[in-house]
Amino acid sequence: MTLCPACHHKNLPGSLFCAECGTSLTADDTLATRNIDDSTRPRTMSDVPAERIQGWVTLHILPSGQLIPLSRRDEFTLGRISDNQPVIPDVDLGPYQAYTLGVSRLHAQIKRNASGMITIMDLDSSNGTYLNGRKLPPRRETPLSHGDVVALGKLKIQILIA
Amino acid sequence: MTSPIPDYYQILGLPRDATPEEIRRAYRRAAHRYHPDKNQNPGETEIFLQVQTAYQVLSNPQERAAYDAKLPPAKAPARQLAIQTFYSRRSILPIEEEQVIYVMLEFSPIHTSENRRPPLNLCLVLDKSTSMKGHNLALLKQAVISLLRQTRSDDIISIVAFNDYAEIVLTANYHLDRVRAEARVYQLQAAGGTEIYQGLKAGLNEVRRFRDDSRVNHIILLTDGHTYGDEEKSLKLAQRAASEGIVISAMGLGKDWNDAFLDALARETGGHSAYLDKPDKIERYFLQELQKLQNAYARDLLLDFFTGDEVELSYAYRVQPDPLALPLTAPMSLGSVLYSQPLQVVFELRVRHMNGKESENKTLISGRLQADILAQRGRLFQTHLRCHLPVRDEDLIPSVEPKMLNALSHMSLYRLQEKAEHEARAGDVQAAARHLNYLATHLLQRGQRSLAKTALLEAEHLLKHGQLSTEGGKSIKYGTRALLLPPAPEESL
Repeated sequence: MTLCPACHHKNLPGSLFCAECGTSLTADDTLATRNIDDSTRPRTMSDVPAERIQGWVTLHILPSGQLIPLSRRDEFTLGRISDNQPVIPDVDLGPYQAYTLGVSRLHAQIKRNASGMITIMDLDSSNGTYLNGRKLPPRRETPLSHGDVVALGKLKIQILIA
Repeated sequence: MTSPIPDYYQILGLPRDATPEEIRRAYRRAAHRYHPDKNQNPGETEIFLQVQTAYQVLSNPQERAAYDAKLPPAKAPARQLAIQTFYSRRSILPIEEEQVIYVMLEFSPIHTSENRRPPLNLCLVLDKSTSMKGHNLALLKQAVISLLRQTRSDDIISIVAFNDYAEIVLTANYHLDRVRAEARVYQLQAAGGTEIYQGLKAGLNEVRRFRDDSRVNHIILLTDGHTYGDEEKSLKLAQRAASEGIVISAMGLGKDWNDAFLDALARETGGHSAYLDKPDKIERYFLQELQKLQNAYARDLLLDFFTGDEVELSYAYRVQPDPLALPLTAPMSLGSVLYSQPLQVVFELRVRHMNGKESENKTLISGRLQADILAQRGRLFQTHLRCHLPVRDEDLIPSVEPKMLNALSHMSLYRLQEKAEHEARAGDVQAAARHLNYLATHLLQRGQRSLAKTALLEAEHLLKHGQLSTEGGKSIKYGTRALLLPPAPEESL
């Protein structure tokens, strides 16, 4: 299932244009057919009201503007759920066009250690994990700070730390 | 006449290297079509028995191998049409959930010294009812004369003008006397009602006299009004024209003509219809249409297809020339290939239950294509087409060919327009207005300001009056279709 960023219509996997409103669902925006009302969604971290940042870290899905707060545990795996999968990620990015954007089933891990430092680690994903545009080596923890932009494949997520 | 070894592949319409799945699907389709409980035509029971035998042999690997060994090698098909296939992704995901795969077929001419541009056998069927009086008729005359001046010496052109009766303005003949023809066109007077059947019948007779498979046999119909009571008769005439290989393209001028009827009329013959909001557009459309006819490379592309297991064809769309949603039944008529513009068709396929069905070669859609290569005196071209993809989970970012993305983007606009029209007709005003608004947004982003404005006004009109305005509905429908046509000279807003 792929959620349309404009009208939230649920499209079948593999759709390239929203069946309801015609908005492009592909990442490479060679065509300017995106239809986003910029006033209602935060684009940069300063636009996100502080009270909406919950949990120790909040994932700000950049293409669609959704916020996913992470709390309760100190470790989360990010990926997408597909059938027949033995290990399921803690955070399923499937609804955010994860497949189209090249997110692996188990793509990366976000972790908070005892001293409160937050790190990200790539889990040997096919399309790699990038921190502020730089590719991270697989299986190595890299510290994150507030406002960093992480890309899983082509899915960009901003890290908001409380 | 029967050859010593029957060609079982041909009977089932399969290539020699068909997969077991394709053999099974082709058999089911053929058996369904020719089953004795169903068939009507004499001889079909025999075909059904042949289909049974063919399947028995080909579905058994040992028997098939033994049969293949006996079979004389297949003749390599002549390369008369270049066919390119594009896919929206590189694999089918092994998931249970329904997924969508797009396949685009592009057919282009192969340039050889043998090719020649086919001569035309064209009849213009023109409305001269009272409503054409004045400006409309003057501009129509001018358009006809420009068209006559663009024809070539080996073209056969005839002209019929009609109101309640038909008048032969120019009889079909090998040699066009331009001076006389132009004088006759200038003398046309507008009077009377609109009876399309009369005009069409006379036009068809003119085209029939020189009908020839090596020519482009065509009728261009132009009308500005409703025809009364002769719709049924006219459609039957169109069917007859289609069976004789004569294509009708229909043009409606102004807002008072019946678009559903003209659409149906043109579609019967594999032609298309166009909307001209103002008479000063007639000339441009005539010349465009003439150019398309003179540019024909192949026509009557016919795809007899079946889909793979768990695959469903959910939409078929001709991107160019003449954008149109195609009926989903097999055999499917795809249209013509022009020298200047390859034929592009997009299929939307829904695939289900692929969980755990990893394979290297999953058939999506497969079938036999035939076409009439006009450039080579109407020589018949036949080939097998097969679209398949591996089933596997792939993390690689699928990148879609820009050409295909562009086609799909256009298709999504066409479908929005189509959806809004259906909803408006079914009385679902809210949904229709919503889709028109979406359409307007996308049109604006493409820089189609006047069309976007029409869509917005129509959405408003719809909410206020509960139905589309006759003019706006046509503008949107034909305007969206026209977006992919060759760019027209910029109009002042």
